[in-house]
Amino acid sequence: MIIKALRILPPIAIGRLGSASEPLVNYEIEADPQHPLDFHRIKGATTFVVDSSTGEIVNSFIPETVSFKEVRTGGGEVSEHIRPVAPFLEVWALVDREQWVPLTLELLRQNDLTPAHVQWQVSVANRKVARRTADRDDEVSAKTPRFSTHAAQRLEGNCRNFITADKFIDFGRVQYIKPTAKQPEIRLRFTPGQGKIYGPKLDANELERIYGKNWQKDVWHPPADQAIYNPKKGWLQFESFKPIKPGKRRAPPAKGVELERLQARETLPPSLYSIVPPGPCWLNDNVAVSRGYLDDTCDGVVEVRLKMGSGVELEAAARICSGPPAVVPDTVFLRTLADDLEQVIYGPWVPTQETEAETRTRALDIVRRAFDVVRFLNVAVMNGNPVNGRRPLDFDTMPAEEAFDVFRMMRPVVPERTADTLMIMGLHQQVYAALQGGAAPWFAHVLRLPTEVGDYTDHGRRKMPAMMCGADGGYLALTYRQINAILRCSGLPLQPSSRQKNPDKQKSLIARNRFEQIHHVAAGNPISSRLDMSVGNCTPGLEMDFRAVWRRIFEGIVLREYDNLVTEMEPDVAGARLPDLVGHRLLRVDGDNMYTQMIGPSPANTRTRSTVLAFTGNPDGVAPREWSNALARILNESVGKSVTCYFTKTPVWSEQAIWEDEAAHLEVSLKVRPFFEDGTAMISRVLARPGELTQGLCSPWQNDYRECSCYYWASARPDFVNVQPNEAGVSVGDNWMQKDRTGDYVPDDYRDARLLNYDDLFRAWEKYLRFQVGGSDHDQSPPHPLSEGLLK
Amino acid sequence: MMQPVRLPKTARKLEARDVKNGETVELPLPPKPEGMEWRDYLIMLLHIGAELEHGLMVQYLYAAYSLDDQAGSARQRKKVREWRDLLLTVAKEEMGHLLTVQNLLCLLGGPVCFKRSNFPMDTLYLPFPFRLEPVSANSVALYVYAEAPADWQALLRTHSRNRHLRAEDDIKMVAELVGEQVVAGHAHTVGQLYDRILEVITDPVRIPDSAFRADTYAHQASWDDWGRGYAPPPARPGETKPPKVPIGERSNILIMQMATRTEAIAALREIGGQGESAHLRVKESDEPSHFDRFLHLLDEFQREGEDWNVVHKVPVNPTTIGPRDKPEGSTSIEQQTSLLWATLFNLRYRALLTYLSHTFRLVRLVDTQEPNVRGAVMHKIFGEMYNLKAIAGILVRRPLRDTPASGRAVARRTGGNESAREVACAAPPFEMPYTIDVPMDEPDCWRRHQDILRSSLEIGNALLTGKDPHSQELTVEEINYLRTLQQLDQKSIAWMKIIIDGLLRTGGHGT
Repeated sequence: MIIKALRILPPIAIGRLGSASEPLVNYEIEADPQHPLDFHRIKGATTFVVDSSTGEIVNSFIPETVSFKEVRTGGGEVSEHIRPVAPFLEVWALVDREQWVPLTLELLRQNDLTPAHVQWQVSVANRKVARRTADRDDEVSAKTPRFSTHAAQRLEGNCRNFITADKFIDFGRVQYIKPTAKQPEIRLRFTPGQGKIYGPKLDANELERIYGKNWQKDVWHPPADQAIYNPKKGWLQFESFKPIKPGKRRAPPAKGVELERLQARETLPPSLYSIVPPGPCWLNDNVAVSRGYLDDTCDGVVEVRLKMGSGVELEAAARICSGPPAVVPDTVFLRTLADDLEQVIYGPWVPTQETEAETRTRALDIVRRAFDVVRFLNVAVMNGNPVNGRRPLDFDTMPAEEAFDVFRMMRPVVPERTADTLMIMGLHQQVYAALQGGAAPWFAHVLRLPTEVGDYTDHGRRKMPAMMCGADGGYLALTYRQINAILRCSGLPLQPSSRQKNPDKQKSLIARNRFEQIHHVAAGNPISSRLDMSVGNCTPGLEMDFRAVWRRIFEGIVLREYDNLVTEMEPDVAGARLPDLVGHRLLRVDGDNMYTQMIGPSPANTRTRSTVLAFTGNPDGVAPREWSNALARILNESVGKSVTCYFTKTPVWSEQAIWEDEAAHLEVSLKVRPFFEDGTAMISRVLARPGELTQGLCSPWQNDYRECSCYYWASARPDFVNVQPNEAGVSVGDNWMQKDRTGDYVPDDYRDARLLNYDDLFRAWEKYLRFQVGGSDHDQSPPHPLSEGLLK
Repeated sequence: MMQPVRLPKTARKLEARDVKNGETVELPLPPKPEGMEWRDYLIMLLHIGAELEHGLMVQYLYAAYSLDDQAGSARQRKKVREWRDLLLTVAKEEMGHLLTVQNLLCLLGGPVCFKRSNFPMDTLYLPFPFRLEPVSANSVALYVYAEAPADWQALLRTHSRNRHLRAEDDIKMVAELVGEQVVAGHAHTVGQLYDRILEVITDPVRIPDSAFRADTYAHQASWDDWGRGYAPPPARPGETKPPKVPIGERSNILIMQMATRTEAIAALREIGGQGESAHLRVKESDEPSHFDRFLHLLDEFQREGEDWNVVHKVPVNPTTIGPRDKPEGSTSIEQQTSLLWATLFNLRYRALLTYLSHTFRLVRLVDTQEPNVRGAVMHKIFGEMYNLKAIAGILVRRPLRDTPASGRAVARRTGGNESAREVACAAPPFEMPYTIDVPMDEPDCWRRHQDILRSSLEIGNALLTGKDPHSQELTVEEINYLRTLQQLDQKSIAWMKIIIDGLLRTGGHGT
């Protein structure tokens, strides 16, 4: 068989941080057919044991139990270490008869090649700090040389702003697994970093100056080997809206255009970094002075090359990223990155070739995920109910967020008396039961359309999914493709109005192929390394900020990840010269608005029952739409083609703008870039460079677990655990962030000492982040089979 | 506007010339029984109204379930889906009417009413005898008549959509379809009953202000609790009125709370207007009335549906009672597996009605501002609605009785074999239990719920483990549904036990 082309599968693999000596074993999750409403069962799957010195897979086994943490005892101390998720990336080859097969020793031999002919190269970066400071010297990047050996390659993240050139952030390692007769496939393993936090090198005086005299009592500071950032550089004591003046601390606020440009760099949510206490900033006059921390997450590209005898070099690439552990390993979130990527592949509609049974299965899966997620929300609190008489605005919830965003009084989403976790979960499960019995979904009218995320009337905010936040900061909407699965089963018209053409057989085949690629299960990889287990409503995200992928979707301009502001012009664009659009806002593309207007209830107008939620700074009540849904149709129809875009005529840096008519705006024709690289499901390297898919995330990510409440990603950062009914029939349980499990839920309050605070997480996140299995704390960590000598 | 001709007590045959002359035949309702207090009479009328709304809702649901949207061409399936949705939206709105009537009963200090008779053939207030039957021109004509306003014949002229049919033909057709009942002297439109209720309630001499209990307002059913999003959306920016949503896609459930006579009258006019004619409504509305919608359905069904073979062969008035003992006019579900499913359906219907009764009691016992068991029971009511939907869907895919080939035939049919369509199929019986009253003490209410759920578990076990040689095996969907339902029921029983134990320990809630 002649090798014609290569591919790395999966096209994106997620590593998860942890400092345990052995990585997490392979596992799958499955529903129990006898008890369909139970949590998914965690089932061990074929796990490879790699000898790190030789790079060989020396054993494989199926674990009976899955242990997520390693507990070490020594010197009278007990320490907990989370097992990292270290995914494998497999190389596949296109051979005769257009078949894709694993690249193996035998296949190499048939082509007169050896494993040494396979060359790997990995580039990863962490651009979180550079994203905020706009200083390229803050970019932390690691690039291996091309290698064909089987020794582990350390991913040393260097940065010009570290104290010395030899200091680095340890992003983990990659290892070309040595193929053997038993395991002849060509593969690479990515083992991420340990989850360390790095920071500035400060002496006692400087620490005292920043944190106060008694700082050691409350504030954690990176140990010496992690104190590597140059304190004279801009990240230490960085403030979002202030110019960076190295050497001068607490620079005066910027004004005018300078301020607007600084504001343009802000992330959504804003100030996503660890700050000098007190935190969070929004409860403390919005003062957010950076502690100068960096984490060891990264994202980047793995490339493989194979020089054929003919001299032709075949190449393939895939993406890797590292992120926090999947602390609820048996639950799939309602909207995952896999859902978003499927929408890119198939478009917003239901593919015409999809059978009704397939669509129905997808609809059922969405409902299943919905009740799985509800389990982890304290629905009463997330609804905006008062907690023991305390006012709900004091707690971080979506209705509170809404009230802050639109400067209106806070209202609960549904009547307080009906908001309870077990009750709402039971209702969802009943829906699931009826669908199982063959009933057509009847609830399509309560699904929130992506154009309705700014509808803050009760009609809009009670739509599903409720009480959670979407990538645009509004109430969460599913992807169009998910919504349309349910609409199709309901017999209702699809959204947006379908202009779907007759299926092109070739296009359908490519789509099917890409679908298979993103769902490829590489041997040895647990489900938590796959896109199915990563949150898709990126605000900004945990594993990746999917919003960042869209920044370069139009040739010539770079957009901000979370709204329609043009932040850069690309220098090298073939064709007509584009006007300088930096600071302008993209309002409309091919007839689709890139924003929606926020509306709220109107007691005054009983006919319309709504009013535009305008306020100073946003006089038209405009809310930008998330790219993934806003551009779904355009991406599906117009890749490689030019589309008509309308921009504001002048820069509008800090305010939102509204479409009026064609004459009032700047019309520019822009070409839509391909999302994937040729025939693969690898997100184009042109769209996102190493580090860019994680640059909008919190620095360090541990900070986000304190700051972002569960309404972002209920099953990835849970809220309500150990839930049971009490004698009054309502749900009781613990807050996941509660230090002591008492069964008495402590509402999320940044000042409550009963909850984990920022420095607890910086100091010992592996101890405090407790895995949830079956909805309860999973504290019994069985020993890893290797440590028991079971496999020796 | 044409005034209806109120006929004297003696019924007379509807003549073609009456129709041609545009005269309306409308028999008066029986007068208030002598010696009965006006308030008591009003509460009785409201009870009749509740039974009527309940009965109509069930009949519309049955009709909707009888439509087969998997048969025929793509256009036919789409059309049938529209018809089914139309029936379902009206049924949901009747649920809103039913709850509003309960609110009126609360306001007047009367007991709530969720009961209805099984097959009432001879009551003085019904538009037609209660009859669960598949969709046909005849049955839809009866629905048109039931929801007809007083000037219905005049409205019929303007609403007839078939240009090839003369309005008089439409009128004649509808009138003739309900003629038998008119002749018998006991057919009344729903509107007549509400007219009578309005007549009584608006009169301060008969019903003094002191009869209205504003303090029950918080105990009444609210749209917030029960509406579930079934209302027109608010207007989007730039719109002067809410966007139009195809009526088949979304019900507008009216559930009105009231504290005063004025609000009570407004509520009655609103539900009357939604049922009969939009012009009766207090609030301006473009929404077609139930009368309009059924007329539209009648036109369409007559034009196309009758020849399409898109109606399941469901029986008239299905019952779980055997052929020997069944009530007159009903049809026994004889096939054993189908009978088990029908029994399960009845149990879930009973659960729904019992939960409903319980919520109106619980609302007086709990803090209505905090999450409470009433909220949980309300969610369970919706859960039971979903169960009825699912089981009804299963029943119409199963045979009514054993035939040599019934199991295989229905199995083939689900695979799309048109010839198998001739097999009579089972259907949801909607039989009333011996009681839906809740016990006096709270722990016993919860035990009642547990009993119903345990019975349901038993039926489920029988279905999952039974071997019926005449029936096709359970489908994967049916097995999955039963397992999920059983797990839900087990969890509910355990949850109720915690509540019962708590009540017994603390002596709360009227133990």
